[in-house]
Amino acid sequence: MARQLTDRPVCKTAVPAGETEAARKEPAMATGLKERRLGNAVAKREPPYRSVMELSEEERKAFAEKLGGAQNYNSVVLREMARKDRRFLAPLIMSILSAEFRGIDFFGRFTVETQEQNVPWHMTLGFARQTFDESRHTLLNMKLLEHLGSHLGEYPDIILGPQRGGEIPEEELDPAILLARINVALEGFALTTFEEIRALARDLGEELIEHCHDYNMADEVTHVALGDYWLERLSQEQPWRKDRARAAQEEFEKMLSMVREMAANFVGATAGGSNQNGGTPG
Amino acid sequence: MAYVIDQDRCINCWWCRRACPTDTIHYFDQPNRKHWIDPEGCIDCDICAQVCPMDCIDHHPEITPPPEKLEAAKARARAWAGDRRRLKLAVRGYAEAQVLRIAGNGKRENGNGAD
Repeated sequence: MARQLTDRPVCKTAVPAGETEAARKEPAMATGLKERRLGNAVAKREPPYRSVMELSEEERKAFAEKLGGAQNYNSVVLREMARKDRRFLAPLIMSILSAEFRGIDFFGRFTVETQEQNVPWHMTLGFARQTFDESRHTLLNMKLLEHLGSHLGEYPDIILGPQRGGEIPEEELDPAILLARINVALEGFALTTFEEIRALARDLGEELIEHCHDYNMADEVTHVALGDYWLERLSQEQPWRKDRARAAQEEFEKMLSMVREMAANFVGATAGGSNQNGGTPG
Repeated sequence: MAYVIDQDRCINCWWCRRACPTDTIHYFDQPNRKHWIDPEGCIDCDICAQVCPMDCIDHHPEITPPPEKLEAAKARARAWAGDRRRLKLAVRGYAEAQVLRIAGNGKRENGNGAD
């Protein structure tokens, strides 16, 4: 039977009918979610995922010869290296492509697993669309790699958070927390990254990269809006959700600032001490 | 003069907050989970309005911060600009050195004598 395209009540599973107002404040994991999660099944990709940490000694040596070491394998340093030598555009694109693959993995799982928490059907549809966007971004970036004379597998994957969906701690599976961390905080931050790559491509006269990353950025704006909207909807009747989401987002931003500060210290600079939000070198 | 975020249209992408040179855009301490510009720290630099992907930050010339607050905010912005410039130059210098080092390694391996 076809599913109705009507909004179901928000997260009734988490607060069963007949519960007191006090119970409404307590998070409760949906029944059977743990068993029905997609678990630690290894994500399949050809060539398979291969993070910098998983390289063999020989591969590590070759990687160091190409990029000078794993410490340079991030978009901030690679952007500046590419400004000097266009060969570094390929690893820059691969670092983005790798995150897009993770995006498919994450949002695919999110779309399926959050249905266990009885989220509104329109939210599920929204995240199915976002998963499709992420797969489109991987295609765009794979073609950009080819355009730059590289291919998938030449550079390893970057590391971003848990390696498999099943490694996300159970208590952090609340959709509101995931929305706050990933859709609002991480995707919001990605806007700057895409804009900076787009600006670099414009400076270098790389029209194809400029066009694709402008396109990617437009999708990211939609993703942030989607996350913000559903975070608000999920939190409307359950203040604990809003509080937990806020705390998760704050923690995420602090972690990001810390990483950037460490990176700034590494290159021997002051880490923008007057700005607690950590500006991005533009 | 100050800028104001239209909270009905803001999607909380925090780009304005990351870009603000005076740290005057608040979020975590707001009761309604929306970004808000404290007019007392706004120096009218327009950076937030330029980066906003929703085009929801508008200039309101009728809002004027007290002169002493404005001066303090400008001092913060100057410090921010200095830090940012140092960081940008450091990253650029580091990246250029890396590119030269990698190119040098390649030449040595090819027997081109780049020592």
